[in-house]
Amino acid sequence: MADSQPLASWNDGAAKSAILDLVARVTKEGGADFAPPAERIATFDNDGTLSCEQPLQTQFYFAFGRVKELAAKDPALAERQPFKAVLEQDYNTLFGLGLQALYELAFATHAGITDEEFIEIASAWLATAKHPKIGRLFKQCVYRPQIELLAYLRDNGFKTYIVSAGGADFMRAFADEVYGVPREQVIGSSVKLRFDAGGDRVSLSKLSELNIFNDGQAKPLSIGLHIGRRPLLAFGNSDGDLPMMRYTKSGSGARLALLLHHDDAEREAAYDREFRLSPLSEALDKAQDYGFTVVSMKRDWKVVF
Amino acid sequence: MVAPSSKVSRRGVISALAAAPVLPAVFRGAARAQSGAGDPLPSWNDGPAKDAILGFVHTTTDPSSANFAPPPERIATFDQDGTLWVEHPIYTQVVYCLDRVPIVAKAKPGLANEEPFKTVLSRDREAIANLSMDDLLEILRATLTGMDVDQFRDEAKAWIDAAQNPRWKRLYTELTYLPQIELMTFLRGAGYRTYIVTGGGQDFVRAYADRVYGVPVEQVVGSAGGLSYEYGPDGRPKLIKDPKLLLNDNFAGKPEGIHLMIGRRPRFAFGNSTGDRQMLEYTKAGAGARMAMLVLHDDAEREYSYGPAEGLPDTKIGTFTQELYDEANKDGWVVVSMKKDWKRIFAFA
Repeated sequence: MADSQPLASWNDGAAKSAILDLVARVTKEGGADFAPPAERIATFDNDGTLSCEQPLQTQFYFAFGRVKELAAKDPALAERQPFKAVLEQDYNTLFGLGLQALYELAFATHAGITDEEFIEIASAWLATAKHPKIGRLFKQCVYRPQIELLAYLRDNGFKTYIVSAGGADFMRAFADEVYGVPREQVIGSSVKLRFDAGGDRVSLSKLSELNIFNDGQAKPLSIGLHIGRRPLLAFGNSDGDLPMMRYTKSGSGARLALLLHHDDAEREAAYDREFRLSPLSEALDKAQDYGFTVVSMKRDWKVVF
Repeated sequence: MVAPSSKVSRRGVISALAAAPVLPAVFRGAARAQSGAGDPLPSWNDGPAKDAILGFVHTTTDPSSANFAPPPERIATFDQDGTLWVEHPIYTQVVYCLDRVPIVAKAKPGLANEEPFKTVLSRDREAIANLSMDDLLEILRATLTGMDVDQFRDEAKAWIDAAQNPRWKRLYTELTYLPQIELMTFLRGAGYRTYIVTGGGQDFVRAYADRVYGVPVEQVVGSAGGLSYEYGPDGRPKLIKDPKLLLNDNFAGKPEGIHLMIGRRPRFAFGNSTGDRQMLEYTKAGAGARMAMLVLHDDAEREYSYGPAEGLPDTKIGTFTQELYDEANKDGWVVVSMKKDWKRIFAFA
């Protein structure tokens, strides 16, 4: 570890100690908890764990812009739900749809586009789009303590993954630049694809049909599919992360499951159970039973952004 | 397992249920040592195929080249059966499944009297060879699903560490092609990440890929069954293999699996049959320098001979049609002749 002061944006306390302790144990050769580098897998949720998800997850702002474009071409769309709610910014109706339906709506707006075109469109949007409340680029609305943690883990031989309910391709458009996580280590929700080979072009087009909605139990399942190993560390912030965290924590040897609690209205936001799109309730109530380490944004983070 | 399409091939069957050995450090060490000595591909004869590989790697890694590929884009994908190791007369994973039948039958009394298990247990080779596709599916389902993924991997590892191929009297993992091990090592040395993209069961290949090919589990993309998330009696969560196909990693399933798991169009892809066609098309059609390769099994003496391309004997396992051969020539793919291009095939021979 080159940096003698890792995790500079973390306050001293139980959470920081737990992280330093896990890394020390699994990297100590000859120690009881030593894990060879190949086994050092760390999985992070994205929305609300690495980046701000209030008032809405970033991908929805991207998709809603697309709904406006589509409605401009097809005015009839503006009269149909759920597009109507999007255009009228009727959040109550949108939240009522639930997270999966909202993501399905988002994905449907990019049906017919190839995988490579999508990355270009998303990258172009991310280069200029700003968070409506924070006033900065969305890709800057990420948590500094987490960026430090990702880097610290990688410095210690961990492979860091994102395991999120968000669209994998959307996150792949910025994960390397923002988090240092390459595309192949981004696991998220996905749509089915169509392979086209005709003329000079051979491509994969996105369909509107959902392939995997990567939330809840789907997270450990996709970890099995993509990574093939039980993580040593998992970090989440909602009940959608609960199975991933339990799966991680219950492996043999030293493991750490961290739960971020947004309790900082002043610097970011204070919410848990009442966030309808992605509530934190059971994971918080049973954190002790499951051996989770709760991270308080207010107390454990010196700076947020 | 539900067959994904009406055109069920044997390869499709393996895929249908997704579900190990050692080449030895000696093996990989040998390739590495050689590359240090100058020729990174000592088991390849000089010729157009070897030249094409060397030229491609040079042009995509030379920063002054117009074809330079930044390191994150350096993805190389390899089919496994017939491309990295022997697939004839039958896929190794199918041998594994047949070998598991007595163990499964012991654990489940009554099964021994039911078909197709009864036939497998009879050891009547002719009857086994005549089993129908449905029978095979039944056997795959019984031997590859229903257990914890960790348990499956342990079982597969134990088998592959001991099972021997009858023709060569060698471990199956010794039946990997030395020229390909050298090629993967060479590509990694040039900053490429090597992936296995196989129609075979992902979990099966993951049991030995790191040791045998130097490919870590997370870089093995294969046909995959669904998983269920369950809590054991001790409250410990585990993943159970389901008899439901999630990803049929053949034909168009290969580029789809590549997108799902890697998220980039490969720069380089290597296959040996029609099941690899779409992966090669997808790879070759990308912008910039790309390379698509196929190995043609035209060496009955040292390995096997099958096509039916170029008048070689037809086969249902690893079919390489004349149409594929013609497409390769038309689109600038490189067809490797096992007989002419490979100086050595196996490390032991």
